[in-house]
Amino acid sequence: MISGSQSEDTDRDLIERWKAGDSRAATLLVGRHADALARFAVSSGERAEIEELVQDTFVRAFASIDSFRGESSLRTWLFTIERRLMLDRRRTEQRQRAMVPVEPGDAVTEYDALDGLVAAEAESKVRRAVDALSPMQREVFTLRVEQGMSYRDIAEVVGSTEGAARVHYHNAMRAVKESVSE
Amino acid sequence: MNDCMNVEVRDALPDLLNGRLSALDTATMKAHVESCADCRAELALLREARSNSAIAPSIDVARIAAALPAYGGAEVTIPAVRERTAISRMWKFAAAIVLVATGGWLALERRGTATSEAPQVATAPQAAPESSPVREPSPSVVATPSPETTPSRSAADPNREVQVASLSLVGSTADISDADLEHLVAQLDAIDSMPAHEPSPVTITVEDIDGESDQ
Repeated sequence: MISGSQSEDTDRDLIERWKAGDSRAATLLVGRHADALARFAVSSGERAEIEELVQDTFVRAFASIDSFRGESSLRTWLFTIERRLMLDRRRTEQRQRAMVPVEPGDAVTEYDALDGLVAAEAESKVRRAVDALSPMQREVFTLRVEQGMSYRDIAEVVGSTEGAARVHYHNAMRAVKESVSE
Repeated sequence: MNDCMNVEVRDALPDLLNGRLSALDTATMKAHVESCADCRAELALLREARSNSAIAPSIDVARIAAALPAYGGAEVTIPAVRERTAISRMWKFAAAIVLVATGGWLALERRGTATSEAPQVATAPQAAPESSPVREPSPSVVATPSPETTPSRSAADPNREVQVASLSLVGSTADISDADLEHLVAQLDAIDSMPAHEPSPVTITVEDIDGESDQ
């Protein structure tokens, strides 16, 4: 079970408590995983409506909680749901971008205030190197290094195999090293 | 920066960074890292990558918790990306078939109108086959005859077979080339008013289409 809990209860325990009508259990679960989901979203390139994305992830997860078999950790399952939502979002955005001409003001979002911080942070060579990775490499690298996930869990999140996840990680690592060494 | 030859150790460096190893494995890893400059450099790089991870906005946990559905409420289906893509393609293909079938039906409808106007359809008399050659119509696409070859109802020879002046798409989708089908699917893709939910599967059997063509 992934650490970072606010109580001694496991995720499974909290799910059972929520099913029994304890709404505080749901709050504990959200508090336990929300920040990680938000970080993963930002690391994956999402910039707008991060909280909405995280909320949507939880809503979908809780509405389908019976389909969570517990074969992986709850966090892995949540990441899987969030990643699918991000893919849906990107697909919708691509479709809209293809149809509607983007005006300069259109890109202004509530998250722009943080963009300055992100830009300053991106001065880091390592950050730039990670940002330059392919989407798949960046996701795998982020899950492995920032979230500390196993290859097995990463494979489940990105819909790949354990071996492929390992290859993606090492390719990403090599690219980061090369970029930093330049 | 070089790579340590011990791939197993390199593989476990993120686990060491995130404290996911057992006490024994942690001690072993630390001993190796202390003696290996490449692993030390890689671990430092990983540490920097993690500390430089993107800043995420703070999340309002209470707001999200309040938005959660009650247990046992309406279940939300979580679509599997790959499956959904496959289903989407199937749906588009089904829509293309429906479109083709509708077109075929309309063509048949028109044909029916034409034949109803000329109910006396008969084969050409055997006595004079050369004067009114009966062309075997293709089961799928019937060529549109030119006006001068199209017999009218007031033609002198009522026994002459009425040529069908329309494009018939009865038969199967095998009549459509891959390029045309791709084009059709691309057009369907461009339609904005697609329903948000996947429709129930549409099944059109060959018999249905054949049945229509027989009418």
